[in-house]
Amino acid sequence: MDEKHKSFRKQTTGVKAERRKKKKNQEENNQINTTTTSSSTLEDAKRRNPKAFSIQNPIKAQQEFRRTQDIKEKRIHLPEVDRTPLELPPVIVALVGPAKVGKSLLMKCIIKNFTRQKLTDIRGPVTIISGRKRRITFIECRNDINSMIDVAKIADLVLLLIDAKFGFEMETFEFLNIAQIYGLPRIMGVLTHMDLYKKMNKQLNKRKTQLKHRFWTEIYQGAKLFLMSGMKNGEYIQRDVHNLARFISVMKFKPSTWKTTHPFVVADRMEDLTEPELIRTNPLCNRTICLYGYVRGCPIKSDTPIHIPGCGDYKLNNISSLPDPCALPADRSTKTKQARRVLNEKERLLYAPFSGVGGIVYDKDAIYIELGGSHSHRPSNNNEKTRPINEYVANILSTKKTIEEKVASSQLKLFSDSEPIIAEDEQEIKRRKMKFETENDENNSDDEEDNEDIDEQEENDEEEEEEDINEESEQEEFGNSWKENISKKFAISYIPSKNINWTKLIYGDNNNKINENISSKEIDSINENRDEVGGLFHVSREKKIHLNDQEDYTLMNQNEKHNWNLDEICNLIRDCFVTGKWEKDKDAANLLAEDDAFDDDDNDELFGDFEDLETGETNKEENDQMDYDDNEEDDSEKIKLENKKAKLKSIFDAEYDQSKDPDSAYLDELKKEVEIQTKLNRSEFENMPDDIRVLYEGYRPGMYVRCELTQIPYEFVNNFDPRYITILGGIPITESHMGYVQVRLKKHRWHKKILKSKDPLIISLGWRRFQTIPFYFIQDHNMRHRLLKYTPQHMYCHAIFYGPITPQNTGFVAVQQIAGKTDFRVTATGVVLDLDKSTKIVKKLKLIGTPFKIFKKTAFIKGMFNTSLEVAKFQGASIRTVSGIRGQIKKFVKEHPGAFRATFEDKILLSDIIFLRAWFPLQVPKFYTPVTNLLMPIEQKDQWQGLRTVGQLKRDMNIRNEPNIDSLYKPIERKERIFRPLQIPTQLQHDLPFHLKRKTSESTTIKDPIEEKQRVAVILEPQEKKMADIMKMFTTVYKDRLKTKQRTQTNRNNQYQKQQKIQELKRLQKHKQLKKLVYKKLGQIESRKTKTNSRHGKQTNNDSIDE
Amino acid sequence: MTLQFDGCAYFRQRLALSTLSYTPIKIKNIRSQENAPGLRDFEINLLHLLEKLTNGSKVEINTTGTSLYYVPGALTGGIVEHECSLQRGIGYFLELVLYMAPFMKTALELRLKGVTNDRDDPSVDLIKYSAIPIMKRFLGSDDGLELKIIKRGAKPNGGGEILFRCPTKMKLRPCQWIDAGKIKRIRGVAYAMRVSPNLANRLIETAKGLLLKFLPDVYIYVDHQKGQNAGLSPGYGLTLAAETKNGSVISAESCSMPRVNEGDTTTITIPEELAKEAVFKLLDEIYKAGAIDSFGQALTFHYMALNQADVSKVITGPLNSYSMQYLRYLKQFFQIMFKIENTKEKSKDELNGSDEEKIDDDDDDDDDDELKTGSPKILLTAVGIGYHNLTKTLI
Repeated sequence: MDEKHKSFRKQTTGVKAERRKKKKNQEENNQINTTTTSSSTLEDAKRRNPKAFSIQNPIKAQQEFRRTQDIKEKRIHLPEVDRTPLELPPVIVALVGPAKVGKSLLMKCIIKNFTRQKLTDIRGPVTIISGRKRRITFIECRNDINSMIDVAKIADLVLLLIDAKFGFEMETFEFLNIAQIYGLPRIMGVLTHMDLYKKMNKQLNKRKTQLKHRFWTEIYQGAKLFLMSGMKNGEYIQRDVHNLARFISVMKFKPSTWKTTHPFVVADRMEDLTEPELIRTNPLCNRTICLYGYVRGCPIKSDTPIHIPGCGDYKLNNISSLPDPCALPADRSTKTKQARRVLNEKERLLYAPFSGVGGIVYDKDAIYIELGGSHSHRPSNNNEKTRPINEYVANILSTKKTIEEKVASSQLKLFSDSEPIIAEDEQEIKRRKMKFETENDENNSDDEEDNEDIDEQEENDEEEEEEDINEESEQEEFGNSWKENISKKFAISYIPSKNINWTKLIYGDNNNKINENISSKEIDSINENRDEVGGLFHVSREKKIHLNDQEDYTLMNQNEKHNWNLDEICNLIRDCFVTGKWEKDKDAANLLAEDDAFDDDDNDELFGDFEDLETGETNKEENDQMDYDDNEEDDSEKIKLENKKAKLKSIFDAEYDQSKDPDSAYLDELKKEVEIQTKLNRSEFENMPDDIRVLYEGYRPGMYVRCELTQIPYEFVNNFDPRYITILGGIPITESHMGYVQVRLKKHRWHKKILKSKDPLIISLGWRRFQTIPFYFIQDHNMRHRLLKYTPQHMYCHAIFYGPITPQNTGFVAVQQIAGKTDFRVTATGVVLDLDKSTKIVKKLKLIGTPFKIFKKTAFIKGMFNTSLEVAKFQGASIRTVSGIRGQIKKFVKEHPGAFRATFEDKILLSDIIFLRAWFPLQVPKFYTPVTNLLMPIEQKDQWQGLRTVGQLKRDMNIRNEPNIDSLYKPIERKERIFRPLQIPTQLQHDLPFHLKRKTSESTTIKDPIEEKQRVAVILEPQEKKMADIMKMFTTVYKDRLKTKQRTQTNRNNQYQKQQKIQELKRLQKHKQLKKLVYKKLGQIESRKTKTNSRHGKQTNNDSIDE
Repeated sequence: MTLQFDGCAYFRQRLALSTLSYTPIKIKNIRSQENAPGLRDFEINLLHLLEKLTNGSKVEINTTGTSLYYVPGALTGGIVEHECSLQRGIGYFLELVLYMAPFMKTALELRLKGVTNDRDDPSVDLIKYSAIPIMKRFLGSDDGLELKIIKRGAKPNGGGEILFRCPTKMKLRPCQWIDAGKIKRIRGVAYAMRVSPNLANRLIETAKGLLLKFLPDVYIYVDHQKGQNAGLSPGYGLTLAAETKNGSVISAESCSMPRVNEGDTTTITIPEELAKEAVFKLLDEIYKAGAIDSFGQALTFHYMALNQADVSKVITGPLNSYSMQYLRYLKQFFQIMFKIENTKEKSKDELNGSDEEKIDDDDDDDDDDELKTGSPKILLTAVGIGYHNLTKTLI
């Protein structure tokens, strides 16, 4: 087996060997000649065999290309300007779940984990500091649909608690469906009550996987689900809580569009500012309240309309920022990194003013004990100056203005030189209302005082500045007096001095005063000028036009006349033109020089020192550099070098970015634009003091603000329950009015009934929750909005209702009822499509008439209209019969009121019914009522009942409508229909082909079956009967005779035929015999002839042929 | 929510902002002190135009016409035709439309008939030169943006017609317009209707003669209308526009006096003088203007305010009273304040940081160092209110 094979020996002679040699030689030559052969082989192959390299299946290739492009395009998101502030507001973490699932306990455990503090009774939002850069507000969601809707709108992260023993409950799914509408927040599931299972049970594991998979299908595959594996000392196990807390504190969020375009404040403190005297005299008076909280979403401005879900629409009377009660710890950059990341005990702040138990209030890092009501300890307040009650009363009596208005006015009059006392008073009042009489608050108030002082100082400063400015301007006048004169001479409108304070001029405090001064001056000047110009306005009027009544001209004084001097002007504006002088950085000569230098350096870098061989010149780097050194100073050179580097870097960056994806040039540009805008937004007001910055930007998200509201119903204060969260949802001015909202709507598939048009529905759209009356409709192909009585079962339809104008693309959720338990409360969901002030919705209307006279194709129809005027309105309208014969209304006739003449495409029957199809526009009722659940008494906050549906009303009041008898269903009785026999004209029957002809001949006296049935039995008179009998007798006799006659006739015929046959036979026989004879003779002749032929040979043959 | 005003001043500003903010307004004491109290015909006409452009707006005027209650409706747009009052030029009406045009439900195609050119209101030519580039900046493109003069008409009898097209936008683009750029060319149009075409040529001759001292690139078109296109009254005029390297346009114009009576001798009837007036007005505008001219000020501020919640900046010359009042109204209606800075100071401060020699030069009135670019410029900065077109339909 291990026999060695002989190795293969290549042949050294013969054809193959020669060929090999030849090839080898060629290769060697090629290698020497060119190195590019290898690369060219592919091209060569392509040329030789183009089919192998072409696209095999064009359609498939196209599809593939499309798919890849699709995927590529889907990955791209539209870059958006990031408008979030640098210091973010606390993240809202909401704990949601059905009752008795452990929400409060979990919240306590998490708070304890973060702050090492144990809260006994949590009410309302709790803000804590979880890390160096993160604050968290915890909110517990009540188990009613209103709270769930509100929480879904504001939450950044939702901890969805699920009772593992019980499984998923209806509320969980309701919440998920609500949350999806408002832009799904981050959701983490928490399984509780796990300790009710035995440990390491098979059943437990099964349950866990089951719950997990159901949870995943609802959110996304792989959504986080935490297990609270057990309890210890009435709390969850620390390890579990710690894990959860860790996840919360590192999570990232992407707020929804609604949240980034609408400001809101989640109130974590509420104060009643109403005069106690007013409350005493009228306990039901409207209140003035103050709500505190962090601004979230986008910047909020004072005077913006706001909506408190569950309460109503108000205007933000006054807003002011307060020092942050839960500020992030300052950055200690000096210490090590390790130390910086961890919070020390002092920095673990907690802020939850609502969560007081029996007068205990948690504020910052201390616990305060409240003594009685907020007003009870005012007299004992030593820090604040108490004002005599007289003044109070006097104030109330003297002015009808509320204090809130004054506060607002004081805000507005920041820069004024009006009495500053008012503002102080306001501040005092504000301070008096402060609830917490503690060190900290004292500090706060001190701060406020300080602020005031600062304000005053600023005002003073400003005044001083003004003076300074004046001085400056004076100085300038002194210095540049000739210039000023020229400008005055030259400019048409007044030219302000250089340092005019435009802000003050325009927004200045005493707006009106300044305006009046300026404008009246202007007007005067205009008037004078007009007099000068003359001609255009000759209307004789008073010299002084009232300021408010000046004419509305865009370019007020464009028709003035001046003494122009071209040279002076030329001197003043000569650099506005390209022919003039340029700025240093834009001067073409400068730029060119710079570029040259840059290019030179580039070249140098590329080539270094080199010697031009042709010319023999040597190019030395040092020389150039030396030249530069000689000319410029070191600093400038440094700057230049830096500039150069930056330039190079930017070029490189641009190239690098482009080279990444050549197709994304557009996107790159867009991204760059957005980035620039983002930077600009951030940097523009960065270094401004906050009190001025707020005027331009509004109160940024992350600021802690105090919002003052007036005209709040007393129920809000009296029935205030901090466990129901209060949101101040800011609304842009454009969205604060009512109109018709057109939405795309779909009934929720888990809701059992379809929805009926005109039934009231509770809709949560934007911040608002309100009840309204929607109309459902569908858009036909010709864009007609056709009313639907009910929503389709599984299909989108449109709906229109009267409600608040909300931007397009905003989602909404509809609920039929808040109170009472129903199966699945989320009734419908959808999105806003259109907003308008009128509706186009129509309902189909069929007018019915009957013909009363018919001529050929013209018919006279009545019953459709009542008067000839109505007919005249519908002249030319198309009408139709049931069978589909179309026609047109021509003109009314006077025979019947409302009758008309119409023509049809065919003759109609008298029994036909005529339809006129028309569309009737509908008016959507202007019904809008906000759900005011926050105003309900505490126990009934989830029992709000609005307008009831008709069905519900009937059910409640036990009303049954008597039905229209005509509308009732009765057994249908139908007569059997008998048709006339088919009559075919004889001529036609004659012409028909055989197979279509009637085979059985019918008796000619076919009786009409209908006539037969309808015949009446006749009883004859005796005389008549006799006559009839005789007639019968005669007929029978006659018939008998006819019969015998026929019989004899047939006999005779038969006999005759027999005879004929015999005769025929004889004739045939004779004929046969004759034939026989003839053929015999012929045969004999023939035989003779053949004999002679055989004798005479060919000759005879020819003869025979001749014959 | 209703805002109250007194008198007829700034009538259009109030109406435009009321319509865009959906805030009802009440104007009282309109010309109550005058011999002929109440609203004038052209103001009523303007309200009619507004009713055509909106859906569901409500106007209540008392019997004397001295008080007006206006409840705005939704802007619908579409194809609208309107016969303007002859008391004011089309510019008066068109300017109001410019403020609202991008926020319509459907793209606007507006035909206005009346006086295209007159002395008091900005003529259609001026609006075309000045407003269209501004709108283009804020709309993002000039796709579907068009202002066409079909017929011209002068003051007493009018007879002109224009076509204005504007696309709708969901939201505008923020715009940083802080460098006006140097003027690279001057364009213009000299129009004449129902007068000798020679007048237009005389206008051009004079204007060119003056302008060529500043810039070689001057071209003025002749627009001599004949027959029906020339309207019903005689008139002629000159509109000039200076275009800068950064695409901003500074424009000015001058128009002949309307013929009132046969024997009336008006001051400006000579084309040479009229051309001179136009040229000097343009030079004055150049002196005053930054990136925008005085006509464009209010419009630019308007688009800056009704923008996305981003920072927009624009540089201008001294504000005129019309735009100053507009800024006040913007604050009243939308709670938006503009940051207004004097640029000269700023640049000085910057210069202070870099080297001090230059300031000394400035103080010495050394003409060589300081650029002669006209009046001190001011920089306006605003954060848009995040305005959204609330009427556009989604499919």
